[in-house]
Amino acid sequence: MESITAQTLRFLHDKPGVLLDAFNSQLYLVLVSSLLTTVIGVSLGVAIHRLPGLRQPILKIAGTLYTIPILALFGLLIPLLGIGNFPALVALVIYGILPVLYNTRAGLADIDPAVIEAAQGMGACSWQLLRKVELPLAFPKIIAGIRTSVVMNISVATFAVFIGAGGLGTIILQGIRTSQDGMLLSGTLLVALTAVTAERGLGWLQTRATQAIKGKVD
Amino acid sequence: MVRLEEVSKKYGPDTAVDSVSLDVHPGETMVVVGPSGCGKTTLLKLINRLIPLTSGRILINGRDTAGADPVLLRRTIGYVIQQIGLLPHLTVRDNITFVLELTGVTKDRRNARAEELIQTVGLPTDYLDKRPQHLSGGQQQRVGVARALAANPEVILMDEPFGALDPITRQQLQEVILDLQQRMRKTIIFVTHDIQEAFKLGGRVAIMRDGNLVAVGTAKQLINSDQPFIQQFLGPRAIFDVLATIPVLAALDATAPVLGLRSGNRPGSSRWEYALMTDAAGRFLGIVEKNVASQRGNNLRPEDIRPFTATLDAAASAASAIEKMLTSGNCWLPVVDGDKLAGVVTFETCANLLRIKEV
Repeated sequence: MESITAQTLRFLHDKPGVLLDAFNSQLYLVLVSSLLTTVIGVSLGVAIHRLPGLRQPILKIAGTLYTIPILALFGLLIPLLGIGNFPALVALVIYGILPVLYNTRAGLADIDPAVIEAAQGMGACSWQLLRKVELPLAFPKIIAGIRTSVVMNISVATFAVFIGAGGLGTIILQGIRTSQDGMLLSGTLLVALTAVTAERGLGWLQTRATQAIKGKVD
Repeated sequence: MVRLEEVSKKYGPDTAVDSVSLDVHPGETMVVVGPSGCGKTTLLKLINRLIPLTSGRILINGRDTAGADPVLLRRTIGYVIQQIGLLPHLTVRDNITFVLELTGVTKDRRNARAEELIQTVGLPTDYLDKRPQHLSGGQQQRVGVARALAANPEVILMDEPFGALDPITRQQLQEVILDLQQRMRKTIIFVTHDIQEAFKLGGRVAIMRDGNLVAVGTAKQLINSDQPFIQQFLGPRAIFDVLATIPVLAALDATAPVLGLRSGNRPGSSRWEYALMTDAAGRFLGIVEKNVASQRGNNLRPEDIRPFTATLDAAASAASAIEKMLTSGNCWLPVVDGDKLAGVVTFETCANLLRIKEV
């Protein structure tokens, strides 16, 4: 009987293409969904900050969607959108929005009101206030939200196999079904590695952004 | 320059500002003072339209501000607030020129302006690349003042700008404003709750209470007011606050007799019991009893001159003259500039400073 390490290495040696294909489709799902999540999440975060009337309804909807288990969400989406990348992306975006939305709003609400008043008093228009003052100052919190969202999307995208969208879930599932431990472990490790890398990378960015706002201490 | 016509601001049934009319002249520092909650900050924010008017008109340079785009209006009005509100993610340089960036001024011109302005407010140019949070409160507010000057506005609004600073820093910043006004003659509307600050900075002072403007006038006019609220609001110390703004040189008594050794004598009025002695160079030597002086004529002896140590520096204010008279037990004091006698100040001449001559 071959050791699990040997099985893994053999799989990596024999079928790197299979793993790479799955990885690429996983990466595609995560990147596209994260991009959409960021754009939609930040926009909604700004919207609920500026328009207090929208705050409760949007936070309630996003919060409710967030609590639906992933397989149940797929179950809801398949009758509506069928299978493939599109419903998978929709699911990922639905999951990813809440942390970004929530952190964007928190970051904006945290800004010293005196800074906002001064900027307005000097004649910053609404858009300049957002772009030159609010978003830069909320940036560390927004990045923290994106970080949570991306890491979560990497794990959720592994389930995308159930909705026919590929990803590293295919490798893991096939490894389980066919009792190929080497295949299973390869897929699992790669998912974990991707998640840890994204987590660390965005964590570094978050630290840098925070430092950039505080200015280096002299 | 800035004209308020029956300006009111209501929040539901509450009236924050009640039909205030006020004319602020070009180049004038108008200080609006009043107890907290009297509407003075609201009044200021109505001018740059951070708060919309309920009724009335505000004209700047004859033009109704209601007709202007509020964003463009604010770019032409300097604004300094108590909490300072510098942008923490920008350098001092970019903070000072923030309004110029908003209006699309090129980077070179912005940098040149920042270098000019930081010196105007008395900070070294190497502070330009620091972040505001690495500056002390007083330094930050200097940057706040520089920022308000960036677009060279004619009108500057200041909302208790030095209220959060310690007394010494506050005085330094007040000097910065007085110095700026000497050179630039901006139209400044300055809100404070500190009477001393109001009298120090204000050409005229406007007193507000419960949303109403109850009095406008110079410090002298206000302390001579017979309205009970004004008297009560100003308090007994206000007289000293006014005298503190007047140099003692404005209160010299020309009738005081001055005798010069081997120089011309100024006889002075007969009310004086003493004459002041100077040498040929005008240095103050001491005092001589007047009857002794008249007995001796031109043959004064050195032992006739009595030393007089309670003197006042010519740079002192009328308030410190009064203080020194009280502590030294004299009702008059010689004023010396270096070691030369500049003149004599008396209780009466100080009191006269508070009288309104033109009324």
